[in-house]
Amino acid sequence: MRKTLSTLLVAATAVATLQAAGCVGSIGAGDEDNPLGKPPGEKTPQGVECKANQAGEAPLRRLTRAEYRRTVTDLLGSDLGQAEHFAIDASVGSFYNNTNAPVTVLLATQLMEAAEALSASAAATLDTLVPCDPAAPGDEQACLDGFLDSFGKRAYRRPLSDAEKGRYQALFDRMRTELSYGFGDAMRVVLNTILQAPAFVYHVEPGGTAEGDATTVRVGGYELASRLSYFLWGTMPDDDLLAAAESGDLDSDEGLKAEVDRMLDDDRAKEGLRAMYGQWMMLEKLAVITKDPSFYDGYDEAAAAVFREGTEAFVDEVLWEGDARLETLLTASFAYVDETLADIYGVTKPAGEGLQRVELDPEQRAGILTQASVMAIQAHAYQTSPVFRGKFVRERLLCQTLPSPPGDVDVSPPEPDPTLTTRERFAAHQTDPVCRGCHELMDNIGLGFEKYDPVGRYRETEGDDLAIDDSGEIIKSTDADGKFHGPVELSKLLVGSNQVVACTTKQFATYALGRDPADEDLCSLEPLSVGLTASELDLRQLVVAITRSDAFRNRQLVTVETCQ
Amino acid sequence: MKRYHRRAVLGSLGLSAVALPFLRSLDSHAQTPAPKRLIVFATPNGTWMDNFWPNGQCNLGPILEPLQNMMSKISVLRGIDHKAASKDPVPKDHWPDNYNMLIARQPVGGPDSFGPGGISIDQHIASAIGGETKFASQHSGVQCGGYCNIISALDANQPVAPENNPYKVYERFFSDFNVDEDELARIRAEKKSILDTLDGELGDLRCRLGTDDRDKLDVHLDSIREIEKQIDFQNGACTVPIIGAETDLGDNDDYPAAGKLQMDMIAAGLACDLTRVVTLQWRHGNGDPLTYNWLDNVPYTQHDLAHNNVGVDVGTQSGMLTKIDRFYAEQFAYLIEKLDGIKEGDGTVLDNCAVLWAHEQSDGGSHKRNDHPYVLAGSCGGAFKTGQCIDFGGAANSGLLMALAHAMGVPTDDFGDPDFSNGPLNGLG
Repeated sequence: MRKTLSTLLVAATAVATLQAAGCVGSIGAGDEDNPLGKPPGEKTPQGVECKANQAGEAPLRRLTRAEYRRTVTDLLGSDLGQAEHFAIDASVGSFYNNTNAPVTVLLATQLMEAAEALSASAAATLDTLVPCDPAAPGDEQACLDGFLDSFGKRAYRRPLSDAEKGRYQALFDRMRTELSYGFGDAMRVVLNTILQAPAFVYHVEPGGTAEGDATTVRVGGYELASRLSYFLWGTMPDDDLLAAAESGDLDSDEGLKAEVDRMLDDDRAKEGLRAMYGQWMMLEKLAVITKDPSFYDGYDEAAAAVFREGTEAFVDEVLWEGDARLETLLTASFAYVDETLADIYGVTKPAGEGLQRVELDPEQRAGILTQASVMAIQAHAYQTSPVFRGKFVRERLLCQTLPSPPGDVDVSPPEPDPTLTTRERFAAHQTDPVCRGCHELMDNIGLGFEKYDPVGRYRETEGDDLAIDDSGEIIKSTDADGKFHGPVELSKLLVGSNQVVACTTKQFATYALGRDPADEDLCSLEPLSVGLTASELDLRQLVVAITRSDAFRNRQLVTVETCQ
Repeated sequence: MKRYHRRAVLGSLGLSAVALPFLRSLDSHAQTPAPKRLIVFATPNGTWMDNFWPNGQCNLGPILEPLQNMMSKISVLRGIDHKAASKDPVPKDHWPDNYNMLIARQPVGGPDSFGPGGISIDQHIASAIGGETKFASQHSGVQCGGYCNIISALDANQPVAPENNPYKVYERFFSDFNVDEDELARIRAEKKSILDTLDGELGDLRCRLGTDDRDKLDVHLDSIREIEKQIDFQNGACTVPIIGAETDLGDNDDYPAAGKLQMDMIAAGLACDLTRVVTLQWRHGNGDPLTYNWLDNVPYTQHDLAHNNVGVDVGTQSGMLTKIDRFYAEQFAYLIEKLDGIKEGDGTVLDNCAVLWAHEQSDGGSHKRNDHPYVLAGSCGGAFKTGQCIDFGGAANSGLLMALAHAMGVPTDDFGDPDFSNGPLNGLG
């Protein structure tokens, strides 16, 4: 089952995402209220007519483990470590979002057991959750109502309907009468149930009625509040955000902007966006990679954690204290180090507790491209991987999907050999036509990283003192093509590219929406990146712009059949 | 669209509703005729076939030697291909191959979001016989948590993940034995009231969703009703095992202990007839960082060794991979010997089981998806002839899966990718 070169080339170049999907050529066409907005009436090549307020379908998603942990922590103070034992999250694109992977018996059981443990624990401090003294509740009805109105609203991220309140009332009554539970125990059961309710467990955005012949609907205030809080904070809305939803403030552009500004100024945004870029850069893999002790002794759990923290400190500074430019993310030559990382970067750690900021050699280091974390993740235990490193640039920064190798190819890397350079050992990828179609897309970028060993240390030679040639080339991109030496020069090609900006926009939007952007979403997302290069893209502004996009504020109506 | 219809739950036939702990240790408490069970034992990164496949007259080699005492109750198989897994476009990784193990279909979805391509054989069987036991199926993992390659699925894009904590399995299996009847009634009434409320909430939401989301919520509703069934289920007589205080079994070197405890729970659950369909998944093949420190001179991970990312000669590589797969053979031997030690009727529980040891690939280095090696233990109540070594010479794995279904009393003549579904494999009976 050998593939021909031509099929591989077709597959490899059929990678267009935002770029080829159309909606281009509208830079500056928005109005003052929505400067990045797109005028109606243009069609994408897929034949989607870009009207106002276009958006894709918003499928039901379940909270990820991280979202569950942080949401329950906001509600009750701690998740008691429950979420870390939940079954694995499912991802779309680079990001976990549980769009697929429905609640199996195991997941339902895990949610049930977690709710039992959390409600039992919370029952001990019930007075902090209910508006009465649980030992002497007095008017129980008022206390239950108050609990459902306050705690219930926070847990459901919207007020409960009368039907829902009625259900909890019936549950409470049954516990009080049939099981003769005291007030506190009955409340524990209500709390237990709330923590398993679909309104809590899922991101729910149901129903909606279209106006006229519209196919999309504005997401409601509470739905938008949840979209915002899980995008920007990775957790539930706070009381102010719920209040903005209730008052209708979020419905207006100004109200939305004010809330987004407030949220980005809040510390929760730092943690929230770490989840996004961490998944984008695959930082979770730090916990599962290994490094052969014969060339690097000491890649253990603590090292894995500090590799991650170092990168987070770097990105956080760019995002929150620096100019937030994509260019800076890809080129800045500073880093945050402890002793381990200082050793990797070949610097001395400045005195002081915790990670310290250091300047690295700008001829050697280029932002995230040469972070120890990224270099280590995109390498084998024992040797570098031009394939992984090239694939990382292609998939995560250029959004080009690479086809899998043909079914009968041995995908093991060539064995290390101190008498040959990595470039020489991987030469078959360039000469064998079956390999070349894809590998020239990956290896030719990845070989440019050869001066960075499998944990990211800079080196001039490899093996038996063999000089390293770090020349590389990007081909078949939209506008980043070119030859380069090493990641510093590579970063300049990327910085001048609009494709990198479009890709970053797509990655952020995929995370924000919890789905691959549909053509309808692209109508408002594409204009965000049109004409921009990485030197011009402000990542904080990108986050803001996504929250203001039609894709984020609307969703496509789906047919809802009548239920029996 | 499938909707669950509440099954009539009858309880274990002919047995006391009261738990009888510790009275008849190592006897199965199941009914007559003995129930049949399927257990899938899945290990990662393929094998080293030259050292796996028995030589000459079915003489077990270096990997399977630990199974020598059980030779009369096992068969060794090869020549079975994951045919669907080789269909273009081939997702070249370990985890799509895990999907093919019990599903026999290529996964669905894009490169970063592959989901299973359809129902797996364990769920196919559980959907037919799961109503007869408290737990329709049990899925256990050995340190297969944060990263895990799923092998079981309810349907396309509906993966069934395993439970990694044996103490949780213990709790679910046995916590309601030995509980005062009044207290048990109270717990059940509370849980059922909660589930009724959730049922109402889910039902409400379901009616406000489109078709795709309704399908997802139907799975959730099915799960809630399965839990209701578990709560309603009348416990039969059962020897409740002793598990001891919970300890964290998440560290690298806890791996054998975590595996042993999961196998103990599975054996105890089967003996009490709490379930008849089980999968047990050991770690995963996605660059798993586990090192087998308890083996002599195996300083590398199985994945790095399989791909020889570590730069050793082939002799060293095969020697280390052989030690690792032999370790899994020892674990498999532990499980089946344990099942064989539980009397049931005139034989043992193992005699009424089909215990299948499967690898996601035949060779982890080349991600080879044909000529898979298997060990099949137990005759599944006489359905399989044991003590054989059979090379099927390129049969589709869907045939093996259908043979398992037939043996379990769930006649199935069509399964997996229709291009390769040619009925159950002949030659095992």
